[in-house]
Amino acid sequence: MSEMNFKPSPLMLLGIGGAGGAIASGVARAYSGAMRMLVLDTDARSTAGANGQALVLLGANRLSGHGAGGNVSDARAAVRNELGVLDERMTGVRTAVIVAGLGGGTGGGVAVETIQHLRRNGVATLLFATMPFSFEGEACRKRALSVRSILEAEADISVFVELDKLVATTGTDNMTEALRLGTDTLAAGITLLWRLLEKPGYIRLDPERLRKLMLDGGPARFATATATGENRAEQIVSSLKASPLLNSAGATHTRAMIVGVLAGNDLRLAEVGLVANELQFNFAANAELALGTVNDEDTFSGRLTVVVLLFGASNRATAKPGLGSGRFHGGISNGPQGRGRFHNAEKTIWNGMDLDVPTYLRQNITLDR
Amino acid sequence: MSSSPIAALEIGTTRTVLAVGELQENGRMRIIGTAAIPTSGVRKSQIVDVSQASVAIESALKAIEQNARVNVNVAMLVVNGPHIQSSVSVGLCQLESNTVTENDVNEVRAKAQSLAEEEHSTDKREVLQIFDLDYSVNDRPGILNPVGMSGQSLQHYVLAVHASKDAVYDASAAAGVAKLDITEPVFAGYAASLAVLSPQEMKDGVLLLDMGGGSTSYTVFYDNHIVHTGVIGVGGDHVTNDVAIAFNCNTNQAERLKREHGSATVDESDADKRAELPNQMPGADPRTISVRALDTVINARMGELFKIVLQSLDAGGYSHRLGAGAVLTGGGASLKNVAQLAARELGMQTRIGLPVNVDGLENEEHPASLAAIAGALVYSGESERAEMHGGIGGFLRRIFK
Repeated sequence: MSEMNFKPSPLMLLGIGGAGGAIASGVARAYSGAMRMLVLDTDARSTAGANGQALVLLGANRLSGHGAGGNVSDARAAVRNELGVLDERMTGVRTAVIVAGLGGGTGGGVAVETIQHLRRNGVATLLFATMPFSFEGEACRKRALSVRSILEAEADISVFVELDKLVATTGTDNMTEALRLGTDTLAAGITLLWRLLEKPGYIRLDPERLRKLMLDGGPARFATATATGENRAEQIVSSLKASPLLNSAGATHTRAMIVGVLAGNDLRLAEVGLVANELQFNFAANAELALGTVNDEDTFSGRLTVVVLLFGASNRATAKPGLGSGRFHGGISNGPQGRGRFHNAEKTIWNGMDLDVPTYLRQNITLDR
Repeated sequence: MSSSPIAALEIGTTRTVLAVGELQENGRMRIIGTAAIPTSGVRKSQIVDVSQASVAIESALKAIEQNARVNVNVAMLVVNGPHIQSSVSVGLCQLESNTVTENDVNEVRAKAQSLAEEEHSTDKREVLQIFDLDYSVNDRPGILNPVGMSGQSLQHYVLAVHASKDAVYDASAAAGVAKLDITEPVFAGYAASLAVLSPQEMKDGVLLLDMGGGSTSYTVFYDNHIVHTGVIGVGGDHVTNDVAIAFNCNTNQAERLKREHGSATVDESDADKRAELPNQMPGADPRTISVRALDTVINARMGELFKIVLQSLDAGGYSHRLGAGAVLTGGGASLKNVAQLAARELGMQTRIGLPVNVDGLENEEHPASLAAIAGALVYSGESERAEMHGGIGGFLRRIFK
């Protein structure tokens, strides 16, 4: 008789700071099943602890459990040497999904230090970071921008969610409602991603596939849509094509796309095909497509929900140490013959493009020589 | 009476430039000699062969010795390349009284600068310059001078420009092989701005694009402060490479085609115009290429570069703060019609940046290409003046024979 050994999930959710903790807690509440999750905070009054989530209080020696006071640098300095406490709790974790709100001190500061620590330990990192609402003021936005570029460079994959855009689709103009919707909408999206990875259906997309796609690094865009009724697949495609979250300025190239289709037992093959084909045509014609489905009648009966994660290519020209190798092999297939004098040089990658390849070739411009 | 000479070195992808200047009594820097020597051993603004790179430095030192009659042993280093990044750090002070004092400002500035050093000085990175940004009092941002204002907390933002330690070390090592000591590195984008920008432009908001052979740096000024900067690993070498691939010629021929016949804009009236490929093999049938095709190749590359810059500005929210438009410097600024294309792609007035804040370059053929090295001397001169007046410039040493 063979024994089945219980193997803990290689996937873990980390909520960082007040906003990140709230979103992660929302995911844990909505996800019907065991999930590995921690909340990291510098504020002992974190609501995550009160809600029964696993809370790790960091930086208490310097900050006395009062939070970072809106200062990213203080938060970083306070927790820098304390992150070893995560190691035991994260045994076996290969991919960490990190959620943080930028604009204060802890979310950005602790996220930077945590991501650096995880990378040193070989854990791939997928960061969801919220950029503050415009009504939160210029100072808040500045704090967010001050740490954004560091996070972009450090995280394997980074999704920066503009809360203005996230809530714009709901039509609310009430401040309290907007704050709640920002948290709830992102939590719902991440919950769907979790279901896709941990509760696969006929087409499996497991955490290891996600990790492999992540190791090439870069920015990403994320959106979800849900519809019911006869034309639900068409409605979802229309909604995602118009989504401001997927159509941000400057996001020109996609090297890979994850599409998760979640539904009950009424999921039709044609619906999966329509969603996958239309999204690939619109967002990622030449990109690698990773498709997964979830069949969960209890949760999605009568509904069709789609999760999309578009991976751009890294803007960084050098590979990060620690994870994988040959990571920046480019999102397009221009061989050495197109790079001329740069054929032996480290590639200059921007939004998925190898900028060493002549622009006229990449843009398919015909020359009348 | 002028000061003793000061030198600056720029090891570019296509050429190595050494310049020597003197601080005049009127406070302006006068360039008394420049030497520009074709570079080997540098790719994409980074040294890939120290020995080869040192050859051009040695030649430049000899040329300066002959032309300006100055022996240079020490120079400041102009640093450029895609390894350069910038990040904002924030210092925070709780106020003892409810009014901001000079002491509070000094304390929060020192704290912000110390944090920037701490955050960005690692075993792989070093901080080149730290620039003061604005203050916020009780989360009211955009304050330039908070002294006397009411509040309980004071924050100060600084912008740290940091670079790969290896890249700076390799450049210093190449200089060392040529028996030239490096005193201090200075970021090329900042240096160029000191040579070409007016105080009014820095106040109104201006973008400075320093277009070198291996990379292009962008630096944004607003309200008299540098607020954003970065480097894109695309420069004039990419244009030359594109031309070489498009017309199946070597890079020397492509470089001459670009310089002598190329334009950043495409003129449809050039449809039938052809240019002879330079330096063809003896005995081969003379070969010509379409000027419109040449310009199409250059236009595609330069247009893309400006679009990338615009995306970077948009991401930081700076593209609508540039009342004074854009200023182009570096070797790429000598490309025909490049300012016209930049104005169109960036959507703002654009001019070529002549180094008007220094003297002595009036007779140079392409003075915009010397903006960074000239600005490095301005920077050095300002540090010297600060030192003479008991300021903070003590880190600069000059050892001339």
